[in-house]
Amino acid sequence: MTDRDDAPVVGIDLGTTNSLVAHWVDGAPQIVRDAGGHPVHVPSAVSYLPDGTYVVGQAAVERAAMAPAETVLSVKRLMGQGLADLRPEVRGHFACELVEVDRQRVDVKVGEATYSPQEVSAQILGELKRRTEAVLGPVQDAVITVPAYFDDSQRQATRTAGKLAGWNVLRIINEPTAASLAYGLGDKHTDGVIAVYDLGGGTFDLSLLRVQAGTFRVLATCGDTFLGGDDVDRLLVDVALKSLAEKGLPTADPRLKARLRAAAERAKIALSTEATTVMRLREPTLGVNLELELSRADLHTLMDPLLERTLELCQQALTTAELTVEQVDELVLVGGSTRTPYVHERVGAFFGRAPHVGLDPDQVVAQGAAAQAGILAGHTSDLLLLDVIPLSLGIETYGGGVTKLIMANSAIPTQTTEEYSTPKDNVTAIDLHVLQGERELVADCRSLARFKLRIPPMPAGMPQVEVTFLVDADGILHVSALEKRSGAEASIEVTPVHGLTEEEIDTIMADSITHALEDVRVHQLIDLRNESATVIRATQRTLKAEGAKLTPEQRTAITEAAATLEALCKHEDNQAIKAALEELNKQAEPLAELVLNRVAQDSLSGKRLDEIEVS
Amino acid sequence: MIEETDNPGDCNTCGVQREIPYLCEACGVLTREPARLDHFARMGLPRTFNLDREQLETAYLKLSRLLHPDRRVREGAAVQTKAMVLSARLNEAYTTLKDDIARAEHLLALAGGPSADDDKRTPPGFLLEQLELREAAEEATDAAALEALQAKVVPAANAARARVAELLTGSCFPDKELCAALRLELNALRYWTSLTTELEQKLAALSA
Ligand SMILES: [Zn+2]
Repeated sequence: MTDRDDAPVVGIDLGTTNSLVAHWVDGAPQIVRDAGGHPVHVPSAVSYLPDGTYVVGQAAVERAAMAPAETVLSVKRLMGQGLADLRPEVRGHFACELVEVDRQRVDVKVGEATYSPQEVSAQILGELKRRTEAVLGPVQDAVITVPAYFDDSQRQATRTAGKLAGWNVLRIINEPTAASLAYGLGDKHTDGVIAVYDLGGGTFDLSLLRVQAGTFRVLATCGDTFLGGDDVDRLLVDVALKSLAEKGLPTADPRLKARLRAAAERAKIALSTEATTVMRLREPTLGVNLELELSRADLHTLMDPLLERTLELCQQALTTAELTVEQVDELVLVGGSTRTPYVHERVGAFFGRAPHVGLDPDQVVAQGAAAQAGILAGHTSDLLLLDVIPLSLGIETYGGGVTKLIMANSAIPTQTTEEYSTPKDNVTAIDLHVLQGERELVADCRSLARFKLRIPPMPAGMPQVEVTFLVDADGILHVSALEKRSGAEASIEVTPVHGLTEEEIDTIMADSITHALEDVRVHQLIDLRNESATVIRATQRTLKAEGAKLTPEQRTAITEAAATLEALCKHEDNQAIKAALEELNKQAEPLAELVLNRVAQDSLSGKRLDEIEVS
Repeated sequence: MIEETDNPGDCNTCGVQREIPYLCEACGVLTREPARLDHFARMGLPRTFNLDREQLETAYLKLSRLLHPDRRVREGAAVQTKAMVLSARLNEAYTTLKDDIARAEHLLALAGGPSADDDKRTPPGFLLEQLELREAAEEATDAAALEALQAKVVPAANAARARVAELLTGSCFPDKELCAALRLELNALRYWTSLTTELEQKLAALSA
């Protein structure tokens, strides 16, 4: 424990558009700066080159205009999400192809290769690690920030990305909470209620905290993962596209959108200081010549609906915290999108006070994360953060309803105990389905985990099953169940049933990241291994069930092909694995035929497919 | 450090008299937790329905600082886990004691009274009245109608709350008869609370 006391610990602000690192040094957080004194600051962009390598950061941003389909921007918007979770305008934001893997994972496809959002984020986090280590030497421990409203799968995806990049993730904390820590450190004398209004490129959060002698207690937090400054850029782009269409000019080229977005951002910045500006884009190759006059009032009209929605959420947080606007002592603005004077004006008017200035809104989140890293590494005992769980946890009840057991904004760690019984005689197992979300129906909440408690058979109503839900300081749920009459016990740590599997993580960890140049080959290998594992598993299962209908020769051929493939998967010869996989598929053909025939017959005889699947 | 003692009184480590049964506030050492510790005793507060809010907040903040696992990162995994569990139980206690209904339910349970599942009865005529109010709430489409209902429901909810407080002010160790009366009022109060929330939500949805 002592040998790591002096090891540096860092906080990472993994942003939608930009990422930044701070470290804890001499009792305070400081932005990590390179030899030239510039902050270690990396635009959150990755661009994949035709030779299989990739570039991260500014180089990727520059490449976005030329090769939009090969460049991933704002990957944070994909973290822990399924295709159905993404609003059309968010989907439209991505010039690269999106492929749904499961309900909580969308990968990006570039050429023949696909990358999970965790991997893309890991490439950004890896770049941050390389650049940080160039200054500080080896660094392991990091606190990474996420929007307060990120749900469990989004947090887990972020944790995985950190792990893939070689970080030891001490904790995932909320951006506005981190900002308040940095703020509180700057003004040690300030006790009272702080409101942190955090408007980033793609997310909005509002957090209310009570600060008392170095203890930062989160009272309430709410937000929207699909609300941010980028939306204003998008609206400006739409205005420009409309103007082009009216003139009969082409609007379909994806490169055009990227150029327009840059022009929109420039216009937005210009309007911070000027009353009017002209949004210009001359692109003879695309046949476009745009000159669009915009006034500050035009911009405000576009921003109003967005800002009003954020203010509604501010009111919601105040209600949750049982506070009035007058009881807020300080207003802190965080996130690049709060630089716009109009945001200061509207938010200041709502809270009835001028926002606190003096901290760089782009740096406070990383600084606060570094402070939490300092706490968790035991470098400071003056500070403590009492955080809350952002979304309610509940269990499925009869008829597809959800009973909430731990309410959103409960302080963590926390626990609660519930007692259940059985509605029927001789029940031997109780199924528990754990969900996250504020809605009342299972269909509207996010499924976290399912598990079974086995109990001895008893008459209906006799069993007394006591279930304890414990959320630890990392926000991870542990469930334990006890049947009081029999003493039967069960417990699980709820690791979400989505995103990357442990195997995928291990495979990626073992092979990729550090070998960026080899990535295409490595990814192909990962894909081949995954596919092989699936085919081998399926074949063995079916062989067990249906094998008797094959000849001994056919059975041997299949078993041998599977064994060969399994052995080859332990090595890295992609071609050999591919050939062995094809061979197994070929040998297993008669088996597949048998199954297909039976499925067809069984469906006709009225059996459900999922019953047949079970071996 | 975890001190293996369930001996109330002086701390074995620093000698100071302990106020909290599982923790020495002076030196921070954690001791064994007594079985079936109620939420009041866990927070070092008197067992009463009329709890002083200020006192509750002060006790909560003080104990959070002592128990949060992040304060014990240098004390090893065993102490950290113990601190995490104690911290979780502290938060459960605080959440329960902060809320009027939850606090009353806790006092009732401590007295061995029936749970809402054991005894679902409500005062005579109560359900019929609720049914009518609920129907009216469902049919109400404009703010005026909803506000008129609120003007009926909110005072009724407050009155039910006051009756619970009154029953518990007499004794925080209710006897069997008092337990049954409390159960009846608490069951009614649940209906009032959910109706109040429903009306608030409908009004909020209307203004949005
Ligand atoms: Zn002591």
